[in-house]
Amino acid sequence: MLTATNLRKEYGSLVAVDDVNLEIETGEFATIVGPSGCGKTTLLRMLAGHLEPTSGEINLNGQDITYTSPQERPTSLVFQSWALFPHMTVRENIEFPIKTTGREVNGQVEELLEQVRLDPDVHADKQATELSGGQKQRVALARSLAYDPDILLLDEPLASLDYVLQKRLQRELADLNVELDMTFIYVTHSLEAALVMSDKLFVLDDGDTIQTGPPEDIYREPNNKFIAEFMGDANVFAVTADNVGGGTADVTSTEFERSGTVDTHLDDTPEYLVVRYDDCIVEPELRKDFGAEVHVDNILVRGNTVLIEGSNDETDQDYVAEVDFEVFEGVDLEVGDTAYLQWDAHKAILVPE
Amino acid sequence: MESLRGAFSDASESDNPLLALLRPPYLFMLPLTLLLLFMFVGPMVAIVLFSIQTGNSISLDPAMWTLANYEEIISGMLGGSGIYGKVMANTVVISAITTATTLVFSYPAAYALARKIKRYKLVFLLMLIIPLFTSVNIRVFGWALFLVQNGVLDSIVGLFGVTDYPSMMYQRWTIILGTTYVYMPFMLFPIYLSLLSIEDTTFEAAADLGANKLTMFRKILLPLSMPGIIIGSLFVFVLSLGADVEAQILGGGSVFTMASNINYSFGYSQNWPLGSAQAVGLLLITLVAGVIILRTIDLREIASRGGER
Repeated sequence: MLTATNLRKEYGSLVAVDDVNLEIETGEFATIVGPSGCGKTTLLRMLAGHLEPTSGEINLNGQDITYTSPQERPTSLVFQSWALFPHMTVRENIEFPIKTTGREVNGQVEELLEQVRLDPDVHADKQATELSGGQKQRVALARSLAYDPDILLLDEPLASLDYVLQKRLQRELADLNVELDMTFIYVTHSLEAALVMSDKLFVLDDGDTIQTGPPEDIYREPNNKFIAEFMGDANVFAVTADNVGGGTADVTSTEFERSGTVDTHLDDTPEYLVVRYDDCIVEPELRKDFGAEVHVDNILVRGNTVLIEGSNDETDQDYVAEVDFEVFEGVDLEVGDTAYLQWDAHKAILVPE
Repeated sequence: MESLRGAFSDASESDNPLLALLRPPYLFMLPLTLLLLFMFVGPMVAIVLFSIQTGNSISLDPAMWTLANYEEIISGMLGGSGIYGKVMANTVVISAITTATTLVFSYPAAYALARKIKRYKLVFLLMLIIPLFTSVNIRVFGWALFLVQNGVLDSIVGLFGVTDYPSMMYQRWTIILGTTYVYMPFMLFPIYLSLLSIEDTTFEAAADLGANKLTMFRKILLPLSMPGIIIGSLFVFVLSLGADVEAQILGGGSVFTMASNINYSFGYSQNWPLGSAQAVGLLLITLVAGVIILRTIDLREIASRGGER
């Protein structure tokens, strides 16, 4: 098990990582997710040993590794830029950690390449610089695995690959995590990656974890407005809530029509109602539990769904609905119309500030 | 992708390759090419022509040409008479030692400048560049004034009562001191640039994968800076082969290099054909050295490395 206790990194007066606590079980796929500049890469570099924390402790299976050098640390980092050794072949790259750790090279290269789904006969003796982005990513992964780490750290290694390849490699990484029973710690700003792969999510903002847990829990029950917005394309309405408790609250708002009872896990008084784009529809008549009157500004057809962008002059807010193409076709809606962006109570999520 | 682009541009230019040379981007190379033709190729042809003449005027009639100058040089070298063999050996030794000493001094400095020093980096770089703004002659004369009898060094050691010590001037190592100093930047900057182009994450990845300091140097730093070392060595070795001022001033007529000997033939002894023949010889040695050094690296790889990132 890896634990980080009150881990902190300061650069002068700037606090990059602000007393973060992590607890990651062996074999778990943990993802640290957050927007750019939230301190997630700094955090990962401290776990890898490339950066010394200002204070705090990192503990691996009962051993304090806070100040252990990267060479001595049983972690291996897959870099965002992959950092393959450009003057070496694929084989030499993968043999590198085997040799530095004083082990015999004995067929591991072929084995590892097959594990990351590269044909050794085709790729093993290519120069590292000859590979495509996806292949480099796989070789970087194989090289890190060749180090035989307890924990594999991944710093957005898929960020610069095309969308289709990203999706495929996300699946493969998740499979590999199970297959090897190795702890993976993945850092990303992409929510989708986090949801697809991880067992456990740490949402980081401004240097601190603001919510921790299984991804589906965080998706369903975000702790606050920031996470709710970050977890997906969502409309946010300021609300007034009464009778909070017992799993429900009665909400009203100046931003939308009607009031009603909404399920909530909160005991505190919620301040915002969040509803995801694809849980909203836009129709001339208000038929659902809640609805905001909008002026339709834009209609974007995105394959099998349609994005309808609207605004309300009184509240000066912009809203979006993502509607199935077939549903959209059944509604007579054009840019310039006034209609209701509406949703049902069970789709609404209540969050504090 | 690269090959695709190559194939595409080949196809569009194959209809008339000569005409393509008069269009951009090749057109932009035209002024420089013409200049090089007049300033480099022309004089080279003249030197070769002069080396087979009998006197200080050029005759284009092959019947008047002679290989006597080459015979004199080569037979002198083979027979052990004459100074040509000695001068050539001397020149090569000076160049080789200069290459080695500039490398030893430059590498750590280049490493520190490229990868470690953050503050005062500009100051250090200026310190290395500013001497290049002054003439080689002035700098080498400065050295002579320092080392010569009754010079600066003399008066300094004199303060400590040392008066009787072997002369520092007119030795082979005095010339090497001069060439080492003068050609240092030509070693330092290629190494500096090659070290600068290595990604920080390359070192981090090596450390992450268990490389200790020695492995890091042998397997990562040295191979990745090798292009800089080789280009720097080529510069310094070839420039040292042509070292003239250093030999004339610091060698003072008692130690000759090929370049100073050629200078002597053209100037003092007014034997232009003999000087030209020696110049052709120096050119051949330089060419051979250049080919040997460049064979150890792949220039195309270096050229492509910049665009690859």
